[in-house]
Amino acid sequence: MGGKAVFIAHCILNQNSKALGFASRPGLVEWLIDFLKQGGCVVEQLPCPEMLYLGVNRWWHTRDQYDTPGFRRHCRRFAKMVAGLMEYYLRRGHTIVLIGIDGSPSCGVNLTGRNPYWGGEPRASAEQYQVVEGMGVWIEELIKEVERRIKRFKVIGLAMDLPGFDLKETLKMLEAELEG
Amino acid sequence: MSLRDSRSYKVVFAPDYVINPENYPDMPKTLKIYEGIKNAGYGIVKLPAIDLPEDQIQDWIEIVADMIEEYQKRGYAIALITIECLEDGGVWLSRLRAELESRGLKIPKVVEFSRGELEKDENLFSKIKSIF
Repeated sequence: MGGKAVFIAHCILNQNSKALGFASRPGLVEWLIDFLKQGGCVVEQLPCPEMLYLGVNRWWHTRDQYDTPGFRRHCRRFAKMVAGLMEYYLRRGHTIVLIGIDGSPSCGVNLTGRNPYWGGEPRASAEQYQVVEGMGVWIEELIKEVERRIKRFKVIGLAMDLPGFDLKETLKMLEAELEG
Repeated sequence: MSLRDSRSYKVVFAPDYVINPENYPDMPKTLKIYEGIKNAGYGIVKLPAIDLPEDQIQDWIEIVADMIEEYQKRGYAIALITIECLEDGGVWLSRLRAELESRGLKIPKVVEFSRGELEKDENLFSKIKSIF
């Protein structure tokens, strides 16, 4: 696993950036950071475009609500910054890995959250948040920029906020992905 | 879907060194500050490596200042960790201060760690625990 620069979703190091109701820990997701550091990885933290756009008191959002030209432009600004940081690590001989949060409207890699009817008066239940296949808006914009500038990189989605999350299986999968 | 919220409302802005000491050949290879933050239950906003190309630095300073502004406005406890023997504390401290001052923002509490503390680390955990 050494020689990898692993770019992780912002909230993995800072649960205080989550939309209210979704911080599963006081500070950081320790099992993942410990795993990456024990494996000799450099860990880089992505910006959180949700928090930087709507703040920490934002309502829950779906991908549909973030899928606007303005939010995408906001994401592209950060994508350029992150791609520059990835190039910094490439010049030092690292390989690049990106870890997103499956189920997230912005950070999802394989799964995101949708509901085309959310909007207006803020009344919603978690059950109305439909987890479906697809990427979050931030990861989508980031990958576009990174694909343009960097030839080889790996993208991993972790469903750590979704029901049925299996830590043991996830660690096994991560080990295999990061060895390869 | 989980609906509990366990956040600590405590965030430290930390140099890259705290998470990636391997990026700093002349520095102690210790994760003790990270371990202390983890045990204290603080969130971390990690700044990029201190030797990032000059043309990239200001963008990162601006978004760090944006986060400081937002957390201050919402009443979160925040602090800035610096490393005495790294250039500008390892966090471009003078430039970050200038950015915050230009916005009329309060400079967060600065908690500095010396090389001696990193090497001996006897009181490191209690120092981190007493940040807030």
